Amino acid sequence: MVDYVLSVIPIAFFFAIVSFGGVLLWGLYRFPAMSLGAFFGVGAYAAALLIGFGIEHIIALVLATVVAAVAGWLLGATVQGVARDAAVVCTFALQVCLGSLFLNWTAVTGGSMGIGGLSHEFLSFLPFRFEGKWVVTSVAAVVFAQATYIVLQRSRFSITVSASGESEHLSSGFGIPPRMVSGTVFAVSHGWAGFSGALFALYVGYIHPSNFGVSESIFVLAIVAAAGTRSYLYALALSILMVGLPEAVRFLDADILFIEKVRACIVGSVLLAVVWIASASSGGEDMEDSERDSA
Amino acid sequence: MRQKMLEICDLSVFLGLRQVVRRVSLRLDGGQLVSMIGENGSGKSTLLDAICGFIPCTGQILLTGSDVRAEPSHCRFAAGLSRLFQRGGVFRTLTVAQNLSIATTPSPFRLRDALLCLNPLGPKLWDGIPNAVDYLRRSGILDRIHAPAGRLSHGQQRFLASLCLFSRVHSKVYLLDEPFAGLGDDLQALVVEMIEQALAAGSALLVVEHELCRLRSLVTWRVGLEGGRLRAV
Repeated sequence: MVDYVLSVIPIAFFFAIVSFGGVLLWGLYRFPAMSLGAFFGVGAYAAALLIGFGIEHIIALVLATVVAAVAGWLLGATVQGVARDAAVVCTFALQVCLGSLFLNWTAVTGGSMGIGGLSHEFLSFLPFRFEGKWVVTSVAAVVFAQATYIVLQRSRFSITVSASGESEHLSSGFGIPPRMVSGTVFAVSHGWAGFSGALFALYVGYIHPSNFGVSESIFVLAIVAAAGTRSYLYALALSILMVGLPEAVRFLDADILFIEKVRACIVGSVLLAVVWIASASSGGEDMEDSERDSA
Repeated sequence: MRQKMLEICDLSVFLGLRQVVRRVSLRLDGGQLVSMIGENGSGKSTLLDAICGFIPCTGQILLTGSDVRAEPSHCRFAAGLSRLFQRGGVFRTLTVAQNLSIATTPSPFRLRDALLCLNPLGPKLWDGIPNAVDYLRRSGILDRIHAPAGRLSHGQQRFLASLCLFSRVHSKVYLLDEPFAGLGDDLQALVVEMIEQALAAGSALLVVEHELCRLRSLVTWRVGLEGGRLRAV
């Protein structure tokens, strides 16, 4: 059981890194992008393909992150200026297109067969067994992503992004270039998703299009929404909860078929409770704002 | 000789098929305050939007001698244009200090400033603003400097928008759209004080305002906009 728990921890942390991107995009920039799941896949496939070309694992990890960040910048710069609702739909469309590409570009992605055999040589210098090695690696990756986020959050970068997210019109009145802000925010958030996807690919050793579908993007947005959109620490906690809880339910002392049937209900109920508590705790502030607006 | 700050030549704006601003020409020199009046829908705010680059227009817009009509709006503002919007003007989710910071420190999205802005131990947010603390105290906002600007009263928000605007170090031309709307007498007096300081510093101001009582002594000349055409008043 310990090995099983240890094997789930890296997955939770990988989703936590993607959710940091969601916090940056949705919490600071007010853009609930639907493309993070696809960019999780872009990182994974880029790393897998580069390793297939004989490139070192660690270099492939860095390059996959760069590929995802550059593609993210292009996406952000492209959707800037489009009405926010329409731009969110654009990211959803991109998610669907990339998902289709992963599945149907069989010559490159392997199609429904996926790409396998990735993780043999990675992190061989660490003096741990496979699970322990990846727990250490995923913790280090989360700490790195979190440190990056804290630096961004405490600097003028976050103020500028918040300002531009609230009103591009007004922020450009203070000399802030909206396209550059949008591109940078998308590059950072989608770069994190790519970084996480590349680590995921190296961890599981086999990637498949079903790992990077629309449901992954919704999963990340659900983590960010439940975490309150602005808190990376809550996003980390929610990632662990939402990845870990369905697995924990397996160990309940009950009929396995019954557990399979109620698992989604239990997880959904817990998620609802989290959202309810989060919204109740911020209700006073919202009320004050709305009262002032109506006044 | 006074420096030519803003010159507009034959500026026209079409919104769809309708011509909202018709061949407007206007010149503002340093130290001048021009007031513009006109009925609702006469094209005043549209003219300001066109000068700022928010909507396309034809004609020429010279900012301190350089034609900026092809420039995107953020470049025009970085080059010395400042605009007070008719509504809002503050980032409601940011704190008062952060609003002032946005106005006064360089954008982290210019490469040379990026590293400076990533430094969390950098200068305090409002260090660059002369008299900012004094203005905040006199307007009753100082004790709420770390509160979101959206929590201030409407008048205080409008005043904060003006303070942010006049705190911009490199501003040369101010376009003010109803700067006194929603302000009490005490806050209006503070805005007049800031306008006087901007004029003394050699800036030029174009003010859209119906209530000119407080500015009467500062106005260099007045123009009216009627059906998109400029006329002398």
